[in-house]
Amino acid sequence: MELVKVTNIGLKMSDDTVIPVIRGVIRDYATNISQVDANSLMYEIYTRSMGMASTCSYYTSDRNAFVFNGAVSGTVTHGDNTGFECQRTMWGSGTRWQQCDFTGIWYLGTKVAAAPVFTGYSTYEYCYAVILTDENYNLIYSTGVNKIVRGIQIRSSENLGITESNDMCIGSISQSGEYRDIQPDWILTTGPNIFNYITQEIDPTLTDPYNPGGNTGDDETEGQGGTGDFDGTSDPVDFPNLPNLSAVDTGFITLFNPSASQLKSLANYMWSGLFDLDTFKKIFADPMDCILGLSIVPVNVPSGSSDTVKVGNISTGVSMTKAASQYVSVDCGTLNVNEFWGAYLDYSPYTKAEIYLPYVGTHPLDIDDIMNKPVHVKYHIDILSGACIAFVKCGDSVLYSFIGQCSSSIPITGNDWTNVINGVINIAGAVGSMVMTGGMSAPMAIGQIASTAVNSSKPSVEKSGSLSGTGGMLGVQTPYMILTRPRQALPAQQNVYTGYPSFITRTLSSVSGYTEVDRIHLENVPGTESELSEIELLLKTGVIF
Amino acid sequence: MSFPIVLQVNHSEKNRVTKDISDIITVTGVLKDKTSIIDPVIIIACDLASVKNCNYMTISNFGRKYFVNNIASVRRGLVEFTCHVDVLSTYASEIKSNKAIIKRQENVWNLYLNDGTFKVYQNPMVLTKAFPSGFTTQEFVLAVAGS
Repeated sequence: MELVKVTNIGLKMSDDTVIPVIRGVIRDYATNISQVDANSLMYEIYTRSMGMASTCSYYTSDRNAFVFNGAVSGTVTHGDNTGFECQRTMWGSGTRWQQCDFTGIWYLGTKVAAAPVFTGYSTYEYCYAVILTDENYNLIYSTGVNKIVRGIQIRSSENLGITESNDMCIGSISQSGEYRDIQPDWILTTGPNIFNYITQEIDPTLTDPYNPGGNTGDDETEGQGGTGDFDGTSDPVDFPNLPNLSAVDTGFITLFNPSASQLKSLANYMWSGLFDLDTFKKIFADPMDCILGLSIVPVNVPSGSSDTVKVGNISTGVSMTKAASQYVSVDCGTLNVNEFWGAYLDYSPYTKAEIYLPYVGTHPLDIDDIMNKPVHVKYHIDILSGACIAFVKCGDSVLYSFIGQCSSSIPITGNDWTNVINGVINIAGAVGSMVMTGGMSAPMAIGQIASTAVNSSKPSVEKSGSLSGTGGMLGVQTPYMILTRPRQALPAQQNVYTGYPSFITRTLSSVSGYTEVDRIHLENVPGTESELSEIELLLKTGVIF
Repeated sequence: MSFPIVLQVNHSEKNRVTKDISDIITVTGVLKDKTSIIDPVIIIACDLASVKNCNYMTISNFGRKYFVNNIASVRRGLVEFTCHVDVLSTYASEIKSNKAIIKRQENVWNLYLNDGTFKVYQNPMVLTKAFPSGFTTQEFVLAVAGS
């Protein structure tokens, strides 16, 4: 039996909700089937009993019995992928544990083919409670279970401290000494008739969902295409960690986090007679060479120990708090961008999104990246250089990274002053340019513009230039999202007059109301050729069932 | 051999498969001349005043139902009906037994599919959504050479 990974399967409950299930573990409980709790849901399972006779009927909460194969006792079926295999009858008393992996679609009153699992037990048990877990043993659903112990392979003689009648071990226990773990990659193959009750989308679990395919290639015996792996999994990309190495660890630089009064004290010292220039000149030419920079940063500088500031190894007597780290992280929190309509209008190109990031500016985002996802913004900042990077995490992955400059330099020399002013001038030159993109090339028909045309015809206007340094400090300090949504004109009961987009295959007797057909192969209609053509034309232009 | 023709009024949309029909009068007669069973033109002896609202007819011998496209008075007591087959009503059960890919539907739809029939106004909604927190403080950083 080939084991292949199955996805998009579910367990259909009595209220028609569907729970995605990867595997389940059945707890067997030695009790008479008629004593089953009427409120518990029981599901038939696939078991291959390795040559042992077994029977029973399992009941759902509404007491609809699934009598497998009509057998009452002593019937075992092996390797039958078209139906349920045997269940187990009660034998003796006491509690027995049985591990079963199963998968497939369970629909009340309908059996769906799924492959059996193996067991190595020599006892007979009823199924009483169901525990369904994902492949990481996280509980999805359970009934009749109080306590769960996970991932253990034991023998029945081992004491797990399970004492309550409804306790459950997700693992494998055997009376006979045979046991197997639930392996993470054990997911059963399913038969060819699996139908995904959750959606009517193509089922990627099928070996070839396009089968039977047509012949479009050179090989007349096989169809072409449709052989992708249908792997829709995604790896999360989290925020990176701050760098491990810091300038403050080198000893060549000391970063202080002074208060305003402490800075004043230092300035007073530097310009006072207390500063021994003669001693300093033996080592340096200009004392200001030792002051590498003074800036304002918009973060709480991580505090280290307190120390006396030394300029050129000369103690100034001014005490300041050292910065404990060169790098700081600022978490701006998460914003949930939710659909407004729950329709295609919520997505590109109809809805647009931009994000304003302090010390970065305004940037467009792809609305498809953020819709229905939490959007999390976090900054990593280097307080030494003032460089910052803003991460935008959409869902579970960082999709956008924008670089900015968040420190405002305070000039302490004439050169510093010139550099600061020049920097501001350069930034100002980039601000204020209105960039217009987007098509306004062709005149638009008045009054008959579909939604697709409206947004694409509007110009895109840049809402900010680079907001770095002092400019950023003067700007808005909280990130925000700018969403541009179309304003829909929806007449009452539009679905009655025009229908809404559908694109499903249905028997026409199952639909009611206004219907437009995309494709149909008319069969068993005893009309003339012109009548058939008229029928097809009418169906495609819209009829009312 | 004579056969009946039921003159009727159709109250439903012409593109409705199962129509709401009410009878006006049933006449019986024989065909005196050839006529198409798809687009029959039939002269019926009847009073025009009683059939002036007739827009539908059923001729079971033809196995079809018809829209009345034109009513003409030939002479007193003789009315000519020009008809065209209503294929939807005539073959309703057979049509319904067929499967089809549905493009648009009144009750079963998926709004995530693009729809060019939706209209929007020229003035979009512009919304701003602020993140929970931002930069709330400012502090000095002094970088000094040496340790």
